[in-house]
Amino acid sequence: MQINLHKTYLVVLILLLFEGCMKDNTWVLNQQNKPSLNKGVFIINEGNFMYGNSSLSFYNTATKKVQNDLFYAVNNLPLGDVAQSMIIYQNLGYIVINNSGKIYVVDSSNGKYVGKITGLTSPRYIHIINNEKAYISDLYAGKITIVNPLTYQIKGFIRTSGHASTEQMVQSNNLLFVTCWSFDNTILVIDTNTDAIIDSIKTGKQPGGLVLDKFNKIWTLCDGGWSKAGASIRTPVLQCVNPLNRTIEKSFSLTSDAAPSRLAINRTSDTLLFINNGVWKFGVTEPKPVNQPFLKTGNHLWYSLGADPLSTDIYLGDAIDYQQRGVIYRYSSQGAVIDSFKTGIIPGSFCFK
Amino acid sequence: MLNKHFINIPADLKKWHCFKFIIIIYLVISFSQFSFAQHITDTLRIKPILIYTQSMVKEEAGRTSTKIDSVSMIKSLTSSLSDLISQNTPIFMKDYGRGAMATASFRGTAPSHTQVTWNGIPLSSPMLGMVDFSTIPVYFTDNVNLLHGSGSLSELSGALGGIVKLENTADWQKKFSIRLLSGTGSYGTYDEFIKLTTGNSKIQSQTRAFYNYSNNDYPFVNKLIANLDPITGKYLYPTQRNLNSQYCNYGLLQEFYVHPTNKTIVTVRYWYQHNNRSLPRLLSNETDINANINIQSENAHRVVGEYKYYGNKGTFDLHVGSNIQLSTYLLRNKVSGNADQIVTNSHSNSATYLFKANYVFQFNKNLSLSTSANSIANTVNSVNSPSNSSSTGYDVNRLDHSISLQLSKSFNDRLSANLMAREEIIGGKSVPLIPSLGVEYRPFKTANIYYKGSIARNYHQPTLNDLYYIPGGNPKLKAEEGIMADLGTGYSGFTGNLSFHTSLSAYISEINNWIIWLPTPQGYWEPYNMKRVNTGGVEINAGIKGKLGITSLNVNGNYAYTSSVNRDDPRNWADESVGKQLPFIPKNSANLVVNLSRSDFHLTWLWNYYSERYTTSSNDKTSRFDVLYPYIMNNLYIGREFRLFKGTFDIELKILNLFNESYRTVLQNPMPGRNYSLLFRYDF
Repeated sequence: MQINLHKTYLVVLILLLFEGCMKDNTWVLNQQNKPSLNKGVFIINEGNFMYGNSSLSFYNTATKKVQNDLFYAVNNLPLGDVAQSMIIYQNLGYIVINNSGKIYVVDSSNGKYVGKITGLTSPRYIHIINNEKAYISDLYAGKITIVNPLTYQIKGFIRTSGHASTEQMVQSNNLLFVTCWSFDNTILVIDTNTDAIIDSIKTGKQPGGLVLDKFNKIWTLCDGGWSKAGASIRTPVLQCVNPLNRTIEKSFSLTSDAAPSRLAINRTSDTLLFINNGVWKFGVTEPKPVNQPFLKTGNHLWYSLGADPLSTDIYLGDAIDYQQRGVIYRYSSQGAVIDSFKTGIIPGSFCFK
Repeated sequence: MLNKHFINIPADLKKWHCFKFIIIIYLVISFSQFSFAQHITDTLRIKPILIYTQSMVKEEAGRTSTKIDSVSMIKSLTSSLSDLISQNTPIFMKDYGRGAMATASFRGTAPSHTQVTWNGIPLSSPMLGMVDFSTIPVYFTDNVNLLHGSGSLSELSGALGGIVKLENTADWQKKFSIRLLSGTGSYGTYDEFIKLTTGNSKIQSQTRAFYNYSNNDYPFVNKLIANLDPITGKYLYPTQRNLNSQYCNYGLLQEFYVHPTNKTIVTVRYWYQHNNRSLPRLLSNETDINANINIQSENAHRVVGEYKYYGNKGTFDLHVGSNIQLSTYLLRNKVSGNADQIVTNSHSNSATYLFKANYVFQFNKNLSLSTSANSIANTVNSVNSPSNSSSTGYDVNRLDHSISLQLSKSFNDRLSANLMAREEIIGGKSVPLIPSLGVEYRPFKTANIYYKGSIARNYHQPTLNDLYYIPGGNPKLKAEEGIMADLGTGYSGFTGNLSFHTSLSAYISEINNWIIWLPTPQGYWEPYNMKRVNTGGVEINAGIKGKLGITSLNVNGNYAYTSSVNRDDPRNWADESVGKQLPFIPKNSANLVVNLSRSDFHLTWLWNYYSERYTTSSNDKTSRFDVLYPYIMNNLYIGREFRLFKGTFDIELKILNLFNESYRTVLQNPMPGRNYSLLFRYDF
């Protein structure tokens, strides 16, 4: 009797163990939703580097409702690894996925995946010139990729010899200004008619953000590079470039312990905003920056900033601990919280619709 | 609303897995108990049983330890240490893919909290403070022992999870022996190994060499990217290969053992190893084919000299050694018309030099005093030179000293205790006293049942990368401080032709100033101290060994419940991480190894299980990427042994991933389906 029981135990145990299967495909969605995305803002959540858990959220400013994980829910595909930025052109949303080397193109009215630009190296931003030409900057390629924004085909490259990284872009007439951020101190000037680099402007260390003000002046925020542990060698600086003569007109140094990022400009293009622990405001005609932040950090970890071009609202992304869903705070131009909502992991940038 | 779809099926799966898991654990434990009960009953009826009682070692009282048995070592000769450990111990190995990095989480702690020593020399890099277990070949070790939690303090401090001790030993009876091993497997995988032993009772030499290569280009269907069918618009999932993931490792280990007098042994060992591998792209990657070309290379030179003297009243041993690691990582993008863009070109030279002396003085058989002093010099020179930028890096030395005293007493045959105190000076700064207390009690003289417990404080210093890496190194980091306690019980013995053992240990620890690296808005990562992490859990081990008729049986199983909870202060109202399990640490893990042999045939079945692992600090379960589903793996080895040319020839077929599972162990790396390896072994 005991022997039989003994054997039964063994058989049941072995059968149970052999049954194991991990069912990698059981997460596949059976139903696709096509939400209606009206007026609002897309939040591009970076996700964690190498996890591939970046995501897209949409906040409807009229209904104050947020839809998270929008891209996956609609398309049954992950967005990829480190979603960097997004723009909308002719109702198409171009989402740049930095560490996946691609740009997903979606219908901006419902998030549906309609195409992609692949074969990039480490894309950061896309700037569309016209229906036939767009430029894609790249962190590690040493070139700007020229693509057709409607057929998604790569048309060519602008080599940026001596400059490994290209970052943000703004256009003034037929000239495109692009920052060279990583370990660099340059703004390149490209003629969009000929795709040729016609000039370069030396800036402070690591120019990242780039915006155009209402006087057609270009502002760049240089983060000063990286500090050597224990030594203050950083020189963060906010600089104004005249696009006509391509010289630096104004330069405002920040303190050496500053870590500025996320340069934005308000709806009327007369006030700059950036993060430096807190959020700082700077009128483009002011003689020098104020010495108090517009919004203090408090217990937030401000990671992203966006200024709504259709209202005076300011959006701030709190990454909390970078390992959970962040929170977006919507502020009035006077600094009062209007709304807040949870979004994806590391909300990194905004695209207003 | 949309997210609901993500969790329906996995919730059902989880319930089934939980239910099944409980049944399995129940059956494993009850089966072993049932076996014991049966044998005891039989014995009482037939004849008196022989109970094997291990004598209590007072110096080790209270310590929880695990020794991987020799059968498992033989079965894993061509495996890496990560496979051996995940299959035979309660340690969770986070495996980034076949041939890729594998890091340990011992009792719910971080990779840097598991120290690895090789014959007394720390193998952990002083830069990273951790060991990549995938690079250590089982070929080169004879014994693998684990010291859990506070038990690690007998060797060194800082192992908040525990220590993995790798040891080599000599067989003084051997005149000449040779072991040859050759294997070939799926995806262009080759394993070659030779071991030559020669000597006599006074001097022994052992020489081992290995070579291991794999193209590692297994196929898989990538469902994380899709192309649109130009006509229907439907998704077309590409079938891809795991390209750019080849690896090549080789090494040499030379050991000399000299026995000049009956009381002394002198040992010199030298271990050279070269590791070379590429890291494959993530599943979601669709970059240019000329992008992300990378190669990681390491040369390690390890040498240790040991002098051991066995006196009438005590034992003295001296270790002098070094671990020198030269690592390079090159990541580049080919750009037509331009020079290659070097994204990372890092050269890191790190070295650890150790001087360690131990003396154990036996006042009498019931009282001893152990003293230990060691000095460790760590040096790191790390430089990164990407394209178009000046080099960044650091060049730092740190000298650490430690002394410890341990008083061990046996109060009688059944009760022993030891009290230890360790004092350390790290980089010129004194660390508060590290005390530990261990107690062991055996209630019966004839039955090998024990109860034991220990309590200790421990400190883990920030690594040199934590302090000085550029960018991000934080020289203001505090040391991690742990307070830990263990309680355990166990029972072992044998009856008839079967021996058995079971053990159960429970532990808790509180680790303050836990170090974690996080991104910053400036684009680089930076370490900082979390307030506190509490860990706790249960480890169960059971095994049976012996003969059932003409069949030899060797079964060993482990189960671990691991709680590793964030007790930091919430950052703000939205922070949902407090009170949650740390990411990537499974709450439940288990493994089982069954070895059967009959006449010349042998069969091994390995089963391994991890419960789901969260990828977020908040333990969210709203999207597909928030949770890694439970991991269940089955491997089967079948072989036959022959007598050949006065030696033994063994041929073995290994079937890995027996049920051809499509799975991932981390979010973005595919794992291979069913694959095979054919091994030939010759022992003379």
